Amino acid sequence: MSITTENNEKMITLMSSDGEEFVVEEAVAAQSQTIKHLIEDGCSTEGSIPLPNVTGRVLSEVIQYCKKHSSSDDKEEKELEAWDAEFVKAADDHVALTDLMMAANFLDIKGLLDLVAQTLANMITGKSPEEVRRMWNIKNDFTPEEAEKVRKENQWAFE
Amino acid sequence: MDAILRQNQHERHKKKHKRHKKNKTCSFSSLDDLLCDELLEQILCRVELKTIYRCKSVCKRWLSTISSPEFIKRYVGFQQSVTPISSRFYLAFDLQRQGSRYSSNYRLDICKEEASSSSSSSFKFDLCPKHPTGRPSSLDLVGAWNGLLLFREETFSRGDSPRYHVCNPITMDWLVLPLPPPPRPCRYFPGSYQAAFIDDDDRSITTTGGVPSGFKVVLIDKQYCHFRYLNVSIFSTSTGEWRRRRAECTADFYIDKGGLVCCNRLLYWVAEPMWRIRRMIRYNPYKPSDKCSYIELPISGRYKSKPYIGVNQGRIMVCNEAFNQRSHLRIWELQDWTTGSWCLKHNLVLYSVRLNLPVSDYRILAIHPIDDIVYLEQREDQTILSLNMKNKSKQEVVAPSLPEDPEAILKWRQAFPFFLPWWQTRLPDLNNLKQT
Repeated sequence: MSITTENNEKMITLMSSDGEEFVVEEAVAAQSQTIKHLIEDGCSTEGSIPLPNVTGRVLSEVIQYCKKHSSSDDKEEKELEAWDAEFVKAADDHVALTDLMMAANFLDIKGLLDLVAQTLANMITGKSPEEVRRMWNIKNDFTPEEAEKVRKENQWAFE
Repeated sequence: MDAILRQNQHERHKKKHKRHKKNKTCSFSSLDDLLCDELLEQILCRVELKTIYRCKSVCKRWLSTISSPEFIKRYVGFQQSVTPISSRFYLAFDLQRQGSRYSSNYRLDICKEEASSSSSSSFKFDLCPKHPTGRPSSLDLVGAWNGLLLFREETFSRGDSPRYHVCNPITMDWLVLPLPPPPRPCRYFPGSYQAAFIDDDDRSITTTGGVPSGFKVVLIDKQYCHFRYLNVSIFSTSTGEWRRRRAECTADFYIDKGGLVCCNRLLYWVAEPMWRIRRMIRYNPYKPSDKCSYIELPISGRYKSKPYIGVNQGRIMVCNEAFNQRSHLRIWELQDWTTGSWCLKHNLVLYSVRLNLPVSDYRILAIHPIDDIVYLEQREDQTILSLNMKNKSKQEVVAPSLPEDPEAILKWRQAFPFFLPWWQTRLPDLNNLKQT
């Protein structure tokens, strides 16, 4: 606990699954509830916090998000929203977003998780099942009879 | 469908373990493999309703996720937290056109009308239920509940009981209820019913996670009550049949045109005994043999139009006209049933909102269930007015014209507050019920 009471310039090193190291302010890293708890439990004293589930590429994006959101407490909400929109736009492809979502889930960053989930949801909205399958490379495991039955039961949604 | 689901749940279980193993060895491009159920649900919670129903066809995993009660609860909870309930409010109307009746039911898009200026006020036609048989309909809209509409099919022979139809106006599914027991005819009036459309379960919606289990249709004999008993027929989706009940009711009554209003699981109506003061009667349809009670209405003196009762923020409201040099529109809120006390909540001088006609030239259509708004129909030109009782402002809403017949003269009948449900209410399969 002693670490959290120190001044906010305290730096933390995060290590990704592929061995990349990121040095960030503690306040930035603590946006992640997972990391915050690790710090509180004194797991960071030996230098760096290993994050075995997150690759360097994804982690750099996550840190970008956390930096923005820890520094802009008193800024206009609208500006932050615009920034968020740009942020997910940059990661436009759904595989990158899925990676980001899993990282946000593992690191327990609620804001980021909500943001990415909403972006993915928006990508689904209005799509046909075929389009959704193609987009995410999902296999259609219904038999033709089953598919017909499910479709018939929800016919209104196709009209 | 159940079989598919069960089999799939089993496979999902197996797959979960597999997925973990796979994760370490190779890379993925399929969302299905990448995301655990928790994250998939997080995404699907945010997808609008029609797409969600379409997504059931994506694969077995998605079907079983979207069909599970836990997910539906979560979906409804999430949607409630992000969308204000008032944005899902509509008025459901029944329209009549000079003798021949249209089979359509029209809704008024209230929220759009209020969000911007009056220029965008519009009626939406995408909720017009067509009767599956396609015959020229003689259906009257008599109630709305949880995204479903209740219609009564007029019968033309005296003493017949009318048939009731339930329609989901979004999925266009129809359900014909079994024929109710005939109303008891009495000497002076042909038997007829007044209907209420309510939750099947008397637990509040919050305890069932926002998804009501089924509905009841309560029919009360409309006729003058001779024998100091109330004759009630109740249809419940849990039994699939009508049951007759009798409750003691010491107030002589004749149910007014305003109909039955349900508030906090109790039914209220304005009783109109001939030549006497109007009363309001209360009946508990979940304890159908309990005695009815009544109180006096807060209105006295002469008035032409009938008082309208409605519910606003979970409280019973009575709306009536009053004439005291100028026309007033008054809304009374029921304070306490046992003492019969009322509180005058709003008193609007119509002249102050530049309405120069007497109140009798308007008809009260509905009270907004949340906001301080009363909807009036102007008899003369059949436009609808929405009166904001709080800031004393008026908005005019142009009456709809039928798409195929723009010149048609329309006649409003009753209007019912209607909330677009968060999740589709499935119509029960009555044949299945009878077998089990």
